[in-house]
Amino acid sequence: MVKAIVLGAVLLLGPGLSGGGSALAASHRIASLNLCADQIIFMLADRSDIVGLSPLAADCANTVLCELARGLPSMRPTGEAVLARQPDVVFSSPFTAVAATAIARQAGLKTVDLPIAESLADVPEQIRIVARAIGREDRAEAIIAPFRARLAQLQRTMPADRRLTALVYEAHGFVVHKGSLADEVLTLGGFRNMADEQSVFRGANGVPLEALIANRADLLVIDRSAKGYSLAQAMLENPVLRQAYPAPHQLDVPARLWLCALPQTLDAVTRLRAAHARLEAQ
Amino acid sequence: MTHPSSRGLSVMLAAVMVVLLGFALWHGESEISAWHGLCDIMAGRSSVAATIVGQLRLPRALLAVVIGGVLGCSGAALQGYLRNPLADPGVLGVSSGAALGAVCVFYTGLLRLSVVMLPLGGLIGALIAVMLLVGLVGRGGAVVLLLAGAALSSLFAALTALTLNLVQNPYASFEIAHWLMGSLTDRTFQHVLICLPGSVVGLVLVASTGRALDALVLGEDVARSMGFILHGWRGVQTRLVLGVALAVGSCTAVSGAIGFVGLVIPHLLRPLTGYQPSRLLVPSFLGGAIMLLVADDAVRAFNWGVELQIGVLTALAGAPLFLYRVVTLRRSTL
Amino acid sequence: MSLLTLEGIRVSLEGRSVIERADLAIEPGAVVGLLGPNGAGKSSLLRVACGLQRVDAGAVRLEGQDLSTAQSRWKARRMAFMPQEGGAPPRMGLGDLVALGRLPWGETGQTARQHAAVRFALSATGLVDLADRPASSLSGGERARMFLARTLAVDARVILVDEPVAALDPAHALSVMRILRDVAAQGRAVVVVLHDLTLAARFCDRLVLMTRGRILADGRPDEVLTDERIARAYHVRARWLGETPVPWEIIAHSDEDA
Repeated sequence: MVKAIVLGAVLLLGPGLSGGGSALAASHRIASLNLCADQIIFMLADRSDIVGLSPLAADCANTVLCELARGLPSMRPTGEAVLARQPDVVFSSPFTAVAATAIARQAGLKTVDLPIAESLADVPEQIRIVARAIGREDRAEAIIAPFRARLAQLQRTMPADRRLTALVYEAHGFVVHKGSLADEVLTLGGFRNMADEQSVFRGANGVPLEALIANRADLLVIDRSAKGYSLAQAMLENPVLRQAYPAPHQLDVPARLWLCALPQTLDAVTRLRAAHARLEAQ
Repeated sequence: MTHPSSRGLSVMLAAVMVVLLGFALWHGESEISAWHGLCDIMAGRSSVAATIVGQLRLPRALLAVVIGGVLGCSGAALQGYLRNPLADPGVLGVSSGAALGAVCVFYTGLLRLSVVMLPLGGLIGALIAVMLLVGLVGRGGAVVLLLAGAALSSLFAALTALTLNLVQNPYASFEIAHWLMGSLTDRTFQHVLICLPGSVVGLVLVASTGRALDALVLGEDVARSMGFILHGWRGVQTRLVLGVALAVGSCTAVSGAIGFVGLVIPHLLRPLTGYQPSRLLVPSFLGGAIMLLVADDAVRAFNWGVELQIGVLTALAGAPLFLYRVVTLRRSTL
Repeated sequence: MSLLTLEGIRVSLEGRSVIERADLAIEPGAVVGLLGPNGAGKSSLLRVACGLQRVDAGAVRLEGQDLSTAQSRWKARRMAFMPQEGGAPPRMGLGDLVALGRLPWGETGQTARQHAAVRFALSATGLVDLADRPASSLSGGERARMFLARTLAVDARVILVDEPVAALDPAHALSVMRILRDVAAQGRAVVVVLHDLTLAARFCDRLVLMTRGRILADGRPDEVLTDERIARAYHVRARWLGETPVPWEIIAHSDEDA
């Protein structure tokens, strides 16, 4: 907290000192209530231009580049905290901190809603939305180009063998279906998503463990990286599940890689490719 | 009613409340200068400090006063009427109705239209609950009232759980769970406007029953022999139930459920008012306001990464107070 | 015209007839004792007189006005009711509790009239010195006098009291009966439900003996309390100590008045 105040004070003087730089149109006071925007801001903005990030930004379970968040001011997701930072722009999300966003908008602040990305094709657009809002379009292209190249390369090298099936099993017993970012990553990784092939997995309220064991996929992708411990997560640790899906049939993909659509999401594809290769070798 | 010592108590509590109200404007989550904010407001200048003090801290502090006051006063009136020191505004089931209304706003996604939809949904839920309650109780007495309240409250709680069960979006269920714990964070004057009419009308109705509550100390027959009409549409019970339900429903719609204030505050103040129900109403209003102002200051002062919910805090503070009372009561009856 | 009249009263509770038919006229300046065995309908008749009990037939008139159409506050200022004591005593101070008797007058604040009425009630019951004590700390006798003081504080012309001495020792019982006599002597009408025939014979100007929902006898104590009537109403044989009867032994149930 003290650090944040000191930093805030430094930042107050910031624009005056660093004025006359290359990016005249750039925002020098950026605040974010959106975890996905946080991570794009890391990549695009000057560290000294960031006046407040959402509280989860420094949580490595949910954020890539979380080490970059150390030393940056974190901000409570409340109206007063946002206004007090006097930001030029506030990034918001459609679901969280709705009241704080409404207050910022009413106070005349520029708020930018970053929609939830549902495909890898959204990644450039997500980056561009943030870049436009903070006046760093030049830097955006420098990130988008390598992402495009890597994505194209991964698409070219798609495994020809499409027989292997996979399931993404999350806390609460939710499985990932078509139309989501994770489904796309799974497909690009060389797997068929079994969740859309068998009716037992179509229920909207999670899949019972029994169904997972009775209808085995070749690979069970588990996201167990979340912090803390809950009953919902305990399902993922069930010994029966471990028995039914021994080592090469199970893969951990941390949530941070596909919670938001980011260039780093392609790392999840790489992990899946490696698992695919291991299974084929068997 | 006037009683030298209870009037002194009210004056003292009012002074403490005013000081805390000032402190709530002065101290918040951010290190802005409240003084500059006040000066800017007086001068009609718009500045960040003016916005924070005038548009965020002021409505928040006013809501703490109104909601805390309503909960305290309603608890005192209900405890007096039911002649049961364990009665709580929650027993009427109206706050459960408000919770259900708000949760439905989350569920249907109406929240996307405007943030104000949430308290409006809560208010509609509360009003439906009030109508059901008054209709159910009709001319029945206190026992019917308690039964109807318990029935409504469990019905609404079940429907709320059902809605939570059906929610698909994990973000939404997280927000609902948080809202149910009660909070005053990020409330604006729109919330004050939603909360105030029901609270004022409700408190006036509750205050109109003060003398009847005194008479009821001597039992229903004596109260009736002293000219008080207890049952029926214009009776004391209808006025009290309608008043408490309107006020508590309006407040719950804005803040979410905040427990223990209505239970603990009248309990603590009763010995200081000579155990006379009518004398307890005003001090309980002030005491409830003080408790919520303190709790909201604590919420803003603690910085644990996660925001502490005010309803959790009042319960945390209220339960030990109650345990202490239990222990002293046990000692005195041994 | 009598102060309070009950005409052709008939009451049933949950389908059971409690008062078959009762007519009664109460005059000021007298203590009227309402006697009868348990279940005779004494308490019900008292509640009817006070307008607390719905009647199936008949009317109650106070100063000539029908109670069912009278304003509740008008009635409450003219008639005070003291029920049988029961339950835990309130925790209020004695003085505050007695002052509740002023509620029908809607007096706010310590007006001179309120002060005088409360003062009168406290001194009539000998409780002036105890005014600051919490009611829950009083003895049974003091508590009975406190409730009586609350009833007197109304300053009503008609005072209806249900079994005020049932749980009291002889000294307290005598003191309560004496207070009621003094109150009647001021020109008020006192109707008191009693079980003690000795006290009834001694302190009442007039007795009304009820049995099975009917009035068996109504008149001066020596007219009402005869061996024959005591036997018929209570199924006991009395012995006489001077002018007052003392219930002595149970006699066989007879259904002569069925």
